[in-house]
Amino acid sequence: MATITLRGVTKRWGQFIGVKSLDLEIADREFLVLLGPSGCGKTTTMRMVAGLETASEGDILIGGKRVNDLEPKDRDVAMVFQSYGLYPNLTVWENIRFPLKVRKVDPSTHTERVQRAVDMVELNDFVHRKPAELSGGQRQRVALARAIVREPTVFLMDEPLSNLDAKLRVSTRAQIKNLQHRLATTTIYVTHDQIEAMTLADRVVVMNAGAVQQVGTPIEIYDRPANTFVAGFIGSPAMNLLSGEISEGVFTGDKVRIEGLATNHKGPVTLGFRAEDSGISTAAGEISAQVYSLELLGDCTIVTMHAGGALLSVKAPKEFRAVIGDPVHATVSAAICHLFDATTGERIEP
Amino acid sequence: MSDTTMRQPFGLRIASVSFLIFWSFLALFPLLWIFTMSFKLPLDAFSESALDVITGPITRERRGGISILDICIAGAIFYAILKVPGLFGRRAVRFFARKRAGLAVLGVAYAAWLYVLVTGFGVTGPSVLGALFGGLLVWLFGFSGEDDDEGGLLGTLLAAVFYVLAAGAGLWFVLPPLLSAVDSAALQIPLVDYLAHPLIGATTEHYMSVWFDRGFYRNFLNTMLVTAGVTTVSLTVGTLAGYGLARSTSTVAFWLLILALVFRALPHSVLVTGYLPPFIASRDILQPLWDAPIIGSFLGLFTATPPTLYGQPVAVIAVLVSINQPFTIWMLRSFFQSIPKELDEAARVDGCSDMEAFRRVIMPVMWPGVVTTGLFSFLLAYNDYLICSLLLNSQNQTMVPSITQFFNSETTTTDQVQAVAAAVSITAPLFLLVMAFQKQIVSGLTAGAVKG
Amino acid sequence: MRRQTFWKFVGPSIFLMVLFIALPLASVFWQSFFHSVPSVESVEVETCSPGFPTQICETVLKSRAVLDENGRPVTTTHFVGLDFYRSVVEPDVVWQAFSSGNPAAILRIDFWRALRFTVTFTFITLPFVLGLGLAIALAVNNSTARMRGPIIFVSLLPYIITPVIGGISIYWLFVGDGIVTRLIEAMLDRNIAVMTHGWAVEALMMFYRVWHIAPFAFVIFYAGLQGVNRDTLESAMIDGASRFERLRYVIIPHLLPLIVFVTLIHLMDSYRVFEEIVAFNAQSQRISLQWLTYDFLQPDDSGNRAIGRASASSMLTMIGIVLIILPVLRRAWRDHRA
Repeated sequence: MATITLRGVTKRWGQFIGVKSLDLEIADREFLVLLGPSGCGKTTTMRMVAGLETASEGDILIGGKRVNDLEPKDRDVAMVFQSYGLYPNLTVWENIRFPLKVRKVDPSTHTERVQRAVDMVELNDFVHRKPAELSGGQRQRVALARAIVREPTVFLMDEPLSNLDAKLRVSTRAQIKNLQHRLATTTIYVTHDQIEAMTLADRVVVMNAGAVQQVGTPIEIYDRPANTFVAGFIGSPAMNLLSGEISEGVFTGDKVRIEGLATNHKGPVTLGFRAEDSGISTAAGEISAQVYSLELLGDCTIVTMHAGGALLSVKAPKEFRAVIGDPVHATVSAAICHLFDATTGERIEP
Repeated sequence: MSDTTMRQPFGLRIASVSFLIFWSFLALFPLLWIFTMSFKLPLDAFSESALDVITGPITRERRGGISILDICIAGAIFYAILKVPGLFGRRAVRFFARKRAGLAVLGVAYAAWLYVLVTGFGVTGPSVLGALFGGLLVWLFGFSGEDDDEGGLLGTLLAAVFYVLAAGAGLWFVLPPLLSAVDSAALQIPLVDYLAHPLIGATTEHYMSVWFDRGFYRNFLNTMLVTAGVTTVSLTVGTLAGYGLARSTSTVAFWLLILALVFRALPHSVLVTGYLPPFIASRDILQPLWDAPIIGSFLGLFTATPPTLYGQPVAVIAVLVSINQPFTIWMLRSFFQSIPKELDEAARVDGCSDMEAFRRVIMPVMWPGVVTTGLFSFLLAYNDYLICSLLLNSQNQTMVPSITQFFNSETTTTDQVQAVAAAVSITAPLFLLVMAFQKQIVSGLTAGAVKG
Repeated sequence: MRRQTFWKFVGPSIFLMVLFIALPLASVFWQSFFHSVPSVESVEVETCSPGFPTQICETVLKSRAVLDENGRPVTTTHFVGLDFYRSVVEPDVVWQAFSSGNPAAILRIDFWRALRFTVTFTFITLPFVLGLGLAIALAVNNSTARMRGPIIFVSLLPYIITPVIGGISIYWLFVGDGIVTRLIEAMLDRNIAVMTHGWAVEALMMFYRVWHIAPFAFVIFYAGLQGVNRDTLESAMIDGASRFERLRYVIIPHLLPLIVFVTLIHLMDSYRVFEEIVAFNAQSQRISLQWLTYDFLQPDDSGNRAIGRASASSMLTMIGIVLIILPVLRRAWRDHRA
């Protein structure tokens, strides 16, 4: 049983605030992803859980026990680092065995446990090599094996895929998901890549500037972003955000007019919609502008245009053809629109 | 930069190559010249003609010399000595890295060191301290080579020391009789005998009289004692501090480094001015410690009365270590900074305390930096003139200050050549050092500059 | 790293530096203002020798050291103000020299003589060290890879060699009938004695220092040259920069931090010039500040060391060091605050 609780956790360096009064409950066996741009405090949060940074304020509890004053070695957590942190002087086998050795685990069990970890990450052919003789993906797997070998109560992963190439990233992602499922260990995973967050997480915590923006399942976060930051950060391409005025259910902005919005709100707002929810029409639509550029993605074409004070992307069928500068219309139905407060950026519920 | 885009005009190439040749000549000439002089009788060494100094006709006539055959044989042996580590080095290192072999060798070495200290220098306290520091060092570096084919620092160190001792003993005891035997045999054979005739006059008599008649070996032992002490202690203390400073971002760490920079700039004579009065009077100053109830009885185990620090190698070791600390911690810090922080963090999450992480994870990957810094500590202690000459008395004097004794008594030309021989004796180990550790010295010199 | 761990790692080093650097410094400062002498008392001693008809007795006044109850000599210490400084600097003579319109006269005082030599030595050698170091680095960088190893090896020797020994080996080339002196004599066709001229000894000491330190500058610059951005060099070439212009506008600016570094190290080290004086046996002709202190510390014929004057000259030497590193400290402080 390892739940993790953060209560009012704050990290300060002099005047600079890295993490602002963070509250978080992580359930046992949960796969929680901390997502946000670089410098948002997600890595700091995880390092405080690991004990590599001390929290300036607040309590950190693992399995109901306050661990603020414990050394990392006494918290029973395992961590996978961004650039792996493998011991260059030890072979793969010794690297994986190292946690058992320093924790004085009964030596007679070492071989069996290391072998099990090696099997899990499929590194059998490389156990006698040094880290320098391995590829990035193999090093990644050694770091994973080193983390799982002693069956800790908590896994911490700090952008473990960011140093891999795109193709390897996809397969290792699947491997991590599978491992976590089999081992059923509470996991905190830090990333700035929203696709990783969406594919891996049970729950996602979106952070920005040291504060939590939204906590929820990937679907919740995708379907009902809590503010413009989350809306703009999740999804590829990101949600289009237009500024304009709303009154009596009609949104008007530069080259934009959307009718039939189910809201009583009045005044300046930000309206958001996703490229894949909208369409292109040659006759008429809610948005009328000129083609700014075209991006052929294979399965579809993304058309961008200037309207509503922003550069919008709209999804068009792959056979759509136009020349830059052609007039074009985009259809945006009122049902798929999200409304945000123009000043605070908070979501306006209909 | 040697591809076509960077090709240089012919004139520039000639100019730069000839400049390099000129510089090499300039760098080497004074050293080669005293080397040549030291093997000649005074009449040759101070001859009018440079050619006579090199060939030494009078020396050849009176004392004999070396033949072409000798040069070839000696050259072959030296070549072999240089090549052997490359061929068998790994195996030897692995042997010495094994726990039992390493400990055995270490034990013998310590016993020998203690013996020398106790009998040769009559001081027990320092030897106990030395053994303690040695033990600390062994613990610190650990036997990292356990399951590891590199062999670790200790294995390399022991193998190197053994090799140097064995090669030195071999050269000393085997080479001269071998050469004379080969020469006398070759003289019997017609045609070949020409090669066996002495060609260049050479004699080692000046070295013999400097080292044995005038007791230079004692200065050599003192130098070894001081340099060994300075290198081990300053590395032990310096690696800890360098690591701490490299991993800390606090303001305190910043000010410590700045303070170290200021200390680095101090003229040594200023410090010696501070040491001399308390060192001479240390017996009185330390008396209260010996009179104190508990500490006193503990200290009494080493010496019954407080020591007079003036003239003691151990005091000079402490002084040189401290003076060297600023430089050592700056250099080690820049080496430690090049080791990713994730390594010790991974170790700490894996279950190590700070100290364990340092010892088990950082030290094994750090030893190139430690060796480099150790080299510079060695050089500082070995080359020091000012501190040793002021703080050591003549019987504990190291090599460099004692050379002035030959130098100032240049009454006869023989004395002068003996001074030259002593100077060459001091230089020879440094020459070998540069040969063996050229890469480390270069990396050490640049380590400080990278961070500016 | 937690504060406690930090002190655990740094502690031993700080302890040594405080005990053997900071404390001695403080004590030197103190010693330069206080004079301690063994207390002496005058006692009447009657010595009698057997004589006839009566013993012959003599009463003489003898001074002897006062001993405390443990039989150790008692010393008294009193504040002497700037006396030691005065005896080192001799302000009266300086004043006289300036008022009589003959400032050169102050060079007869050891301290001013040492200061004059130390400062000229430091600043004259600097450009030569930088120039020679840069020249070797550029030449080695232009040479084939096969030449580099041996040249670096040869270059390291003057730097690694014990300074006193390196100095002596050059001294021997010139002293008396040294081989270079012979060569010059053969060329000029007359007898010369290099070591009798103060300026010649000074020049030789400077030559030695450049010979000794230039390799260090070379190694640093050579390492820096490996990091010159090739794209920048190539774009400079495409822009039409000549070889010299590339050196002037691309390579030198790239090396500038290293040039500053070498300059700083050289200033600190050559301000401490000392071994040259020993090696070139130059104390009668040229002395340096550090040698001055060393000389005060040498026991005189009766075994006394002029600790007070040594302390005063040490403190005066320190002022120079502070002036040299002040710009560095100011820059470090600015960087740290930024």
